Amino acid sequence: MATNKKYWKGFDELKESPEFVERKNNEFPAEVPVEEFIGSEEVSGFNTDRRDFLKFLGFSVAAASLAACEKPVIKSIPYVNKPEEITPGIANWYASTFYDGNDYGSVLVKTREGRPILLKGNGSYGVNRGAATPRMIGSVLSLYNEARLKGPHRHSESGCMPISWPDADSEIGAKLTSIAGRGGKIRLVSRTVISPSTKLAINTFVTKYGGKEAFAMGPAVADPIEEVLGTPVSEGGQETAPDIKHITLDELSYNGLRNANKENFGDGFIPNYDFSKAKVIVSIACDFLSGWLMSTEYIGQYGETRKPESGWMSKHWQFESIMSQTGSNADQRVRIKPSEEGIVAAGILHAIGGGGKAAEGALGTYCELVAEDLKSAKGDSLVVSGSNDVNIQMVVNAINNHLGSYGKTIDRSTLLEMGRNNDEEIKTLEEELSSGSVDAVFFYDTNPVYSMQNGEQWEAAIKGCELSVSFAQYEDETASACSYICPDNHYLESWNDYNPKSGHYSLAQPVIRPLYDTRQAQESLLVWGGEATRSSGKDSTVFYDFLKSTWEKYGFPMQTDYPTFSEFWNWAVHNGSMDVKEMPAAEQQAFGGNLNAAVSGATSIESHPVELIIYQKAGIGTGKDSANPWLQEMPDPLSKVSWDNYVTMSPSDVLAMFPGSLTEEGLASNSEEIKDYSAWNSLYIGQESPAHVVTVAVGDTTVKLPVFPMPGQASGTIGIAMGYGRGAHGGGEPIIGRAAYYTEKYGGYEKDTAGNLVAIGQNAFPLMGWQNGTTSLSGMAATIEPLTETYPLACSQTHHTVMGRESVVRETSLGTYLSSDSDTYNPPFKLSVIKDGKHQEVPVGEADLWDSHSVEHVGHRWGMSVDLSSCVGCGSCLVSCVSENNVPVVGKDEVRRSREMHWLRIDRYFSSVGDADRNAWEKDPTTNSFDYHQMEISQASPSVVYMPMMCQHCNHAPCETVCPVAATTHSNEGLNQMTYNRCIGTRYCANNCPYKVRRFNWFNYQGYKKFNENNPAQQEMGRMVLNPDVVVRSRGVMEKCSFCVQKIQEGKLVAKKAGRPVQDGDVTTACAESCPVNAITFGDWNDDSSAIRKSSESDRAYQSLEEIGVKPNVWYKVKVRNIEEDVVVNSNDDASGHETEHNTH
Amino acid sequence: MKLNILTPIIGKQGIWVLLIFTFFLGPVRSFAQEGDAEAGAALFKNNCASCHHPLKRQTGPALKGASQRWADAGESDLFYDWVKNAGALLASGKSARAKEMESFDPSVMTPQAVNDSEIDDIVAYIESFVEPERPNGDDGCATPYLIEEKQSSGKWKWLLTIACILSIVVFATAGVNRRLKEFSDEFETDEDQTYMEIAKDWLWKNKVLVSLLGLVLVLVALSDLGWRAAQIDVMEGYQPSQPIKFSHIIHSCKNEIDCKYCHSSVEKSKHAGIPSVNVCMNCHRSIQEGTYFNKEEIGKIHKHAGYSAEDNAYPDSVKRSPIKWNKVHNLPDHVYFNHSQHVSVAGIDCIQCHGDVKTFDAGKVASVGEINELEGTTKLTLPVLTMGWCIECHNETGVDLGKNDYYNEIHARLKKDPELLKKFKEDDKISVRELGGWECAKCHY
Repeated sequence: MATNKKYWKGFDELKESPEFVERKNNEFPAEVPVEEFIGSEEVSGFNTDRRDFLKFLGFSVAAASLAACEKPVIKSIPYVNKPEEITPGIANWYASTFYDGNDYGSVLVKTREGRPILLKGNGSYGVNRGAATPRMIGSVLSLYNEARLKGPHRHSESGCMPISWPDADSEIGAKLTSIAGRGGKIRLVSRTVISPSTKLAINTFVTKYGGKEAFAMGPAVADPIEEVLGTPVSEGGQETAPDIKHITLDELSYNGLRNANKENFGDGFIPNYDFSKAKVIVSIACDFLSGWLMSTEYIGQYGETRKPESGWMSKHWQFESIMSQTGSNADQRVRIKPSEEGIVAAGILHAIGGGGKAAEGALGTYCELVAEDLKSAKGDSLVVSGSNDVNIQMVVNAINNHLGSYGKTIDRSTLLEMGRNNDEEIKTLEEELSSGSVDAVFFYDTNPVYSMQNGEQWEAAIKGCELSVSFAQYEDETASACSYICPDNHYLESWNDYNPKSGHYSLAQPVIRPLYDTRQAQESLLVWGGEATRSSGKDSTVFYDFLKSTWEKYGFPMQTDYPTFSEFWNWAVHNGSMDVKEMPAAEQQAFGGNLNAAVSGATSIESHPVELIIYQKAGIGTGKDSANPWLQEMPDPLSKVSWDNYVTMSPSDVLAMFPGSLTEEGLASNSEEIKDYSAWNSLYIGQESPAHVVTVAVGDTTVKLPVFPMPGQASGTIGIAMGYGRGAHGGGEPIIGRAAYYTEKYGGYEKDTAGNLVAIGQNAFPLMGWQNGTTSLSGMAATIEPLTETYPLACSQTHHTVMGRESVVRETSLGTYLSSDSDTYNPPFKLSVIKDGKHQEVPVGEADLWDSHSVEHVGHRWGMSVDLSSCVGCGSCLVSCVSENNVPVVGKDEVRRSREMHWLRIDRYFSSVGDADRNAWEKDPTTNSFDYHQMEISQASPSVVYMPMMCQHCNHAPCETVCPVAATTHSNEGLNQMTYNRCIGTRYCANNCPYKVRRFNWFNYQGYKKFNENNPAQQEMGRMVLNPDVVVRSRGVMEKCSFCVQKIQEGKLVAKKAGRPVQDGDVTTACAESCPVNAITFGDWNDDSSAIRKSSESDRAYQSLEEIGVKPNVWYKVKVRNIEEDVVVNSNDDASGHETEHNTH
Repeated sequence: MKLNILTPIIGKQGIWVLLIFTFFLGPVRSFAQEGDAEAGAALFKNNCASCHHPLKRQTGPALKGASQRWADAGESDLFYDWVKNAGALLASGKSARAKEMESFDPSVMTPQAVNDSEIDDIVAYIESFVEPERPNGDDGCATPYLIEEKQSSGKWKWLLTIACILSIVVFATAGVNRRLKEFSDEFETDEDQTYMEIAKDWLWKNKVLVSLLGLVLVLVALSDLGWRAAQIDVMEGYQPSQPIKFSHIIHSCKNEIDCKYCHSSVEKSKHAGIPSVNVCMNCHRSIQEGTYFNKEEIGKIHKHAGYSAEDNAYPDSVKRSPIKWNKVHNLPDHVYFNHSQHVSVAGIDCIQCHGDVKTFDAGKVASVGEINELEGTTKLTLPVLTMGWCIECHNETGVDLGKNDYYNEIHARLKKDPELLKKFKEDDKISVRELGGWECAKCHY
């Protein structure tokens, strides 16, 4: 049992650092920023004597009273011609599709009076089955980014000047014609195109200027589209002039995987993975829950296998270096260095008897254990690798082949269209560009100057081209090097179609008229390709007509459900996606390829003392969303740091690097910042404890970043998140969006010595490597230099602690769950009472201090349950909550003061088993000698529990009894209501809340200058995203989760209008409907047949902190891990296995 | 301004056209052989009236004789197809008359869900239609935009003038008095005493009376202040001027247009909705001249709609613009109010909150007194649009659990707690309040 476990959110909590202790006793540090008012130069310059002051006062009072007498006249402006489908006050939902080259998913867009305000996964149609990542949900805010270009631009001597579309068209057209006429080189570079119509548009463009079709066109009209538009014809080579080519360039390369399949099966495909069928999942450094291929689909499939009620659970092994989102959910997690990935793969292959090469030492033992699991679930297993090394992928293919996974968990007849970039081809382009032989280059939805290892060279080379055009929405790194920028529409303003994998198609429809004078890239291509002429500006239907005709020609004959095209088309747009008839299985080649060479290649990867991994953060991804304040403020699921990237290192490595925090000299030079330099100090990250800064060098490239000690990271590895440091090329202008730059403490941007804005974080792409013919994001040899500087990080990991009440979370093993009754793993709390003269144990519920609320019988009682077993901590619920409830963005400085406003936070608990031997050292780390191995035992490889924590809507709410003005009260539907306009801001309620879920509005976030750069409500466009049904709270009031009361009221009204009782599904919360793994259930608990009632009565259901008797309306379900009884095994093995590794330090 | 009932009504026939939306006076004689004109009247009202008039051209042509014209063209059978789906008939190319019609007006009628016999009924009604006779003079409606002379301001002026005169008289008498005194008391000793001192002496002598009087004054001032404070944000009687002299009296009283024709989202949405300009144009395309302001006010609508009356068209060259009305009923941002909840679920009549809108021109916030005088309203005491007024009504109003199946479940659950149910039923009704209508988060979120 997990009783000997200690749960902690961060090292400072584990170690009870003085700062932590102080902060946990003072949840709302009330430093009033008087300095700002009194200390500012303007104010101190005033010469106000008492008399003047009284005059001012008198005037203000008079002015205020006068102003109060006259109510402003408010205008009410109806439409001139009201669109038929819009009824003011009622939301319209439209099906659409999100694809940014990284995430793909069918989505539903909520619009109010024509403004998109919320996005969620489409639960009825689409492969992602309702799943949406934080980035997808947040993308609705990116639509309103004011940095978007307002029209086409041309770079000239005098800078970046706007031009008109006809001018741009004629100038670009003329140049193209002249280049093509003399047989010049034209290159169209884009992200992986999965849109059939876009492929056709590209073909039109390419053929117009004499090129061969970029995407092969078949002759048969009735054939399915992917047969028509197969793989790009890339191996041209012998074209006669002009030389025009389409090249795919993504930030993330799946080249290794495609090449491995080419070797093994003769075709460079990516097969369809089905995690829902996998009883054993082995992932070798593959973050398949966040960012890897179709992670939006995999996350739901994975969630299905994590519900123990079905009698089985998948067994998830993860071998990885950094603690990834996926790894943190694994049952067994083994820390390896990137150079060991091949050794592990080969070791597993050997252990299952498929050849390979046995791994040595502890890794060998792990491989044996993995093999046992794999063999016991033969066929129902899935091994995946995130590596871009062809050898490793081939070994992984061999494992899957040997276990018979093909045809079961891996489907070779359904192929993914995503991840098509060809690293060799890009390299060739790079050479062509730098040699100056390319005359014209076009960039569509790709940003190589930022995302390539040698972005600077790209920039110079692009500037050298005669014609360079970017379709970027912003003046991004690549666009600012191009001679023309022809801004594309945001995807919510565009028509599009997608074919993410064979047999599945989806459509994207515009949900708002283009905000600016932008033009869809496909339309530009069609116009330049001579296929169309631009018609009526924003209302142009050029690409829509093209798309529709494509579907009439190819899509309509593929189906038999609808007799007429218009009917088919209407339903296709309405549903947003469709599956078409099964493809005739392509002739499948048997497994082949030179396995021995692959094994020896995979096992002989050079290891380095410090290996770097460039990883994706859940919020920022590859950097397209750097300017999105919701996503910047979303704490990273694991580190809980927002607004920055950093170097993650194993805690023991950090201690080794900064022994006793800093040297005496270092301390002397930083005496202001660092007062306490106990050994643990270097692990604390807090408001007063900044992080240490290091420089990381890979080859000649260096970055300077703070260090974050990450429990669970393999020693000898460092991780840096990609996607940061964007927009720094703009100098003094926030050219990719306001939230992408550091701000000053009291508003305004931080500027460097040259007066340029400072972009948030550092770009990690220049540290990328090249390994075995493909780009590589992990395993680069890095050197790391400690500096004496420090840097503050906004880390919320120990904000809002629950004061050491560890009954907050409960977990158990699958064995215990299946074999024992719920009293073993989910024991009810009992109170000791004296009753009838005897000592008795009674359930907590029997002892009541308060009269009970009559929520049991009157109407509804809203309840929620959260399954900790399936929750993967992705953060979608958090962003969805922000979007639905107008939760203000507060910026880094305020997050550092623990004043983040998120109504829902995801508590990430590390858990480790207590170790008696360590106690002496823990008590006095400065005098007791320090041993890395002791650290390794418990905290280096902790297990992780994610717990979404929001207002628990206690029926005996402690907050309600202390409110002096009855601003927080209880409803007869069980809601703990917060009435903002009654609140006077005493904050008693927050002090009395055992869950620490109440938030205080320290500022007028939508007006105060400090939040000007970050808060979308302060921007003309940004405020269009606000939900008009939810009030924007003002300064001085408390706020908290309301269970989305606006949605409850709306759902009830729907039922009332229909004259029927509320059914399951009528009422749901933003978090519940955005959860990709359906971990959150919401509904009417008083309805005996409701899902929430059943969920709350499950054996695993418990109430957090039940012993304090507040009777919450939220139930959690015990986390079940598919592990052996004894949780300690993992850590012990782990420690012994890493002895060799530590010798490197 | 003087009331002149007789002037402009005669001769301004446009206004009567609106009558067809709601009521059809005059004898309806059924002389069509097949159709039933009475059934046709209802069908016409529901399906045709928003675009057609039997005798006048509106969005669509005048309909009297339409079926005959088709018969004359030898296409009497196709007439039915034309009504049901004009576009399809046009596309089929079967009908020569359809072609002719298209050249007359290229906008094609939307398909109508009516069958042949219903078309016969409609035709019967159209053919039997005669312009209803004008009721003679008094239709029970007030006169629009009759500005009565405001008395109150005059009163204040009079009072002020009287006060001034009185004070002058008082001072004058006092002055005379003093002079007289000076003359008569020339030889007395306390001649140095000023008025102030005299007043002080007097006050001191009568201190009990003065302090009582002072107390009363303070109390009056305080209570007045309190009363005034209670009036802050009370919007009763608020009737802002509007950019167009729109009159509810004309539309709602004289022409009996249903509130929901213009405020059409009242049953669906939280907003009742202010009609968009195209809704105004449904009628004002044919009614181009008003009774009171001739073309001036209706012309403003045409201008906003970008409509050219001469061409009976919306030329592209004319810019369209929304009408910027002044909002009358304004709730603070932190209040959530949903019209559809009250109108379509609770079945509350508009007058309960908005008063007898038929009796005023521009929209105004009716006072609770006015509303209480109306028949069938719940009588309340607190000012309209204050929170007290809302919750007072939530307390007074009962919810009929049997009327809406939504409450079945709730009723069943309530029965599990008989004590509570008994408590609820003490006043013979289960009020909105008892079901949670006084809870903060019902309106504030």
